[in-house]
Amino acid sequence: MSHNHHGGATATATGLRRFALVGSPNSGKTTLFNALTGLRAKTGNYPGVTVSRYEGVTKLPDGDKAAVEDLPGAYSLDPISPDEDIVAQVLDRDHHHVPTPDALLVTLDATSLQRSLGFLAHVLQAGLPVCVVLTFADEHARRRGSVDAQALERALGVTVVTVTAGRPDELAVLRDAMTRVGEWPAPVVPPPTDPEQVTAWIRSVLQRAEYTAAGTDTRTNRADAVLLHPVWGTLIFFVTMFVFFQTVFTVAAPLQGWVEEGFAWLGELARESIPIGWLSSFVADALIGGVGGVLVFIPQIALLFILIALLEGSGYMSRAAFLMDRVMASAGLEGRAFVALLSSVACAIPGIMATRSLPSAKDRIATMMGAPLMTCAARLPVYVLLIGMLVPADLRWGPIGLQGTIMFGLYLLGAVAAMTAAWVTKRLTGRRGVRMPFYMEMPSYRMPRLRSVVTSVWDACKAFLRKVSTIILLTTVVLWVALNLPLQSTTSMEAAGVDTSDDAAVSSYVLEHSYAASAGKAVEPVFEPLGFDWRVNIAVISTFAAREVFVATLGQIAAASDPEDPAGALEQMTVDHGPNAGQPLFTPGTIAALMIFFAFALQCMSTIGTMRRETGTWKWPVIAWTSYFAAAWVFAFLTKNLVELFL
Amino acid sequence: MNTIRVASSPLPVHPEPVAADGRALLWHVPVAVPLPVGRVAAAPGALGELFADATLSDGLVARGLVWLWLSDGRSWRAEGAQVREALQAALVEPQRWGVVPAGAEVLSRVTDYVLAGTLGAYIASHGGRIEVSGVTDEVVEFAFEGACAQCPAADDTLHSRLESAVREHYPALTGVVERPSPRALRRLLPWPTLRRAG
Amino acid sequence: MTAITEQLCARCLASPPPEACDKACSLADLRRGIRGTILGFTAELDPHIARRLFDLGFVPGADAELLRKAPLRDPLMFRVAGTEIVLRRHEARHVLIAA
Repeated sequence: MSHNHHGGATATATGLRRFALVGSPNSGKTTLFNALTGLRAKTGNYPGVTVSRYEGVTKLPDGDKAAVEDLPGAYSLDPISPDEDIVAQVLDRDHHHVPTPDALLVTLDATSLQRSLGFLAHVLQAGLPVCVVLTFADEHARRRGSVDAQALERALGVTVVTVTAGRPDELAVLRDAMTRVGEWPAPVVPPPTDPEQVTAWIRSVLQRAEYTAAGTDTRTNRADAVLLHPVWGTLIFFVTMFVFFQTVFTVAAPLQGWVEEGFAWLGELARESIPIGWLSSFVADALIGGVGGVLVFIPQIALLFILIALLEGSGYMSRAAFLMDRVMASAGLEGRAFVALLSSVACAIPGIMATRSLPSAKDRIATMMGAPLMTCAARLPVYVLLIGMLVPADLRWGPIGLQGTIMFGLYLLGAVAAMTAAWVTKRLTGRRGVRMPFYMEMPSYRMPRLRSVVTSVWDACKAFLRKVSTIILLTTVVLWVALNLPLQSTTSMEAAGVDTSDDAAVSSYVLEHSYAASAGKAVEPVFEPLGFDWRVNIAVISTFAAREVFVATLGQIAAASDPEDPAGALEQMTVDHGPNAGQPLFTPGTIAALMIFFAFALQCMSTIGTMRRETGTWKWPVIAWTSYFAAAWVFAFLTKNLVELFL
Repeated sequence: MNTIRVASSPLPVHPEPVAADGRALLWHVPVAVPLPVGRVAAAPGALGELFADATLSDGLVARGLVWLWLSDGRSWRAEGAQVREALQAALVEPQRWGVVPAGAEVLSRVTDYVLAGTLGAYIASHGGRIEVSGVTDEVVEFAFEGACAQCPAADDTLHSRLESAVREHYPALTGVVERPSPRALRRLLPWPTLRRAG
Repeated sequence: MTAITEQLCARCLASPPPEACDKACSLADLRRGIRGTILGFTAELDPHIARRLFDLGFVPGADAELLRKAPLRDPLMFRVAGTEIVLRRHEARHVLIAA
């Protein structure tokens, strides 16, 4: 066979040969990448785009190491998305801002060779050394298909290596081929690109390779007859989603509780060991509390990504997207966005991270904009407190409790708001360029590979820790400063008439004279129409770190004896100045306004940090922050007035 | 794939390299096209023009296989697409091809092709080898070497497989003949062999 | 745009002649379990989308079979070129099949 004329794989300046994995999504490319590089993959983004980049290192039999890059899945080098654009650019030597690899490993799915060869025809135009990796040959054989890999090799004019997941001996053959990359043959005549010609070429090659198409996958077919049944399938889907969701709450919540308790214990330890008052508080609350505030997300992220990886790896995710596409399409999104939005009901952060599975960058951004509006778990304590103050527990409409109804209504509001925000974002960003058509491949049901699941979770947690933790830590420190400074000495407090042995009174006094209080008083005019006074404003400011902190902060302000259940103390609070002085602060209108405010406002800095990381820019988080605050204000205002009108 | 085809859609062909000959390419064409067998003397349409203007210097034809040689100074990278299209057009009119007999040469190449393919790989995987010792217009003479020399299945199975594989591309094949070898003689006459003791 | 992309964008997917278009139905008209031979794409279909469908396996001359419809009749799941691909009605309408 003729040898390639492109100098083979010259070692790069760093001494590593660079391979890139190219192939369509679902062709086993990422599984192969994980098998070659293990958990050592480094991730980042390609320059200037929100496309993730995965690069790792593999050890070759000749002792050398080689760099392996997992390019985004692509069906064609005629790109329709930023991901495919990147693939085309990487393969083009003239595009200098993304380095071109020395050689390509092209994964072709044996069960869909007819289509995959079309993509190979594109890749072979690049003139880079190519080795074909034939995947899923075992499934092809199981489905009574056949292909002669050696005849295929002769017909194509490139090396063909068969690799089956879970067969390390085949992987050794591949690594061996990678060592001899300088000898890889190249086709004498590149395949045609004209549609009719390439169809003819594919027919000829398949005939030569004695290819018989696989029969339908009866196992998958039978499963889909139930799982995609209009009635049973939808039912099973909702049950699955419910279980998915409940698992997160019931399994992640205790884990999160342990993390919180652990850090609370550490904090106590710090407080007791450090003699200087303000320093011990700083170390305990700001630093230890801050780190704890970062790590508390890990159980949730890990668990959600395990579940998502299992759904994705087994093939059920595509079925879920198929069932939900019509509903999602009404918001301008597509079926795969459903899982990301659903995940956001636990916490927007893993939900935002889950948007990586969406091929369209515009869909990703639209879904990310919607995610924070879904009623997340952190809003729950706030809602519980406020609903409890608004409506007595025993009030019922027939068999339905009013408290539960309001809660359900708030969840619904979150979902509607999220879909609307996604729709608006899509409209605003979707005007330029061709509207991307929705298409999705339905893979056969497969056993999710443990390694892929582990890699996916590891990847997500690492990314979160590296990029978002700084923001959370910073916010915690800044808030600590705002809420605890200026320091109040014991003498000044006693002079003000505060009983310094009463911790609750002390913390209340500190809060009321803190920088946050000054800020709270400063923004009072803005929030006054909503019925919030400066003390409520302090609590709202504290939610920038995490929404659930609202309850504790309010409790501190109210000098409640039990800050975790301040309802009683809050109901006693009266407006301290202005025209309504003396009247209760938490009127029904104000409470309702507060609930609606929380439904919309994006205070959570962790979410903003994650959005920044996933979109690669501050633009979208800032737009979300400002527009959702504005919406929160407007809707809270309307709510207050409507409630006061009727009550 | 389905057989419905619009009249203009091109025939499936693809090239494979020829060992040790950079100017040649073996083009696989549909076996069903009734091409005459031999050396190309005339070809219809654009293919004929490629011969006429000396882009192509030589061509051999068998069923399903067309060997084409480029003239010196031409490269397949440059001419490949054009040759492909010309070939596809010419295949639509197999009756307009003209050949001069070149039986032995074609048969030899066909046999080499078969032995370099799946059958050869099968034999090699068992440690054997088939050596072609002679080719005429209608007969191929070969010998079993390596593990095949001692293999009892070699005679019938491989013999008939080889024959049908070659005949698929060269219909005029009368048969494949095994060259009488010492092995064959040994079977007829149980000659005592000298064995070293110990 | 890279050189390869330019070359691929120049691909022209000829629509079937108008007479054939009138008599042809589209993928969206198939019934469950019924197979049809793809003729081509309608002239109204954006060429970029037509090329994408081609690259997904919706090739003139290939067979496509409707496997399932989603609960609200959209999207549709087809079997083509050995794979199962989901398309919305909006795109499926533009893929013509022999009646």
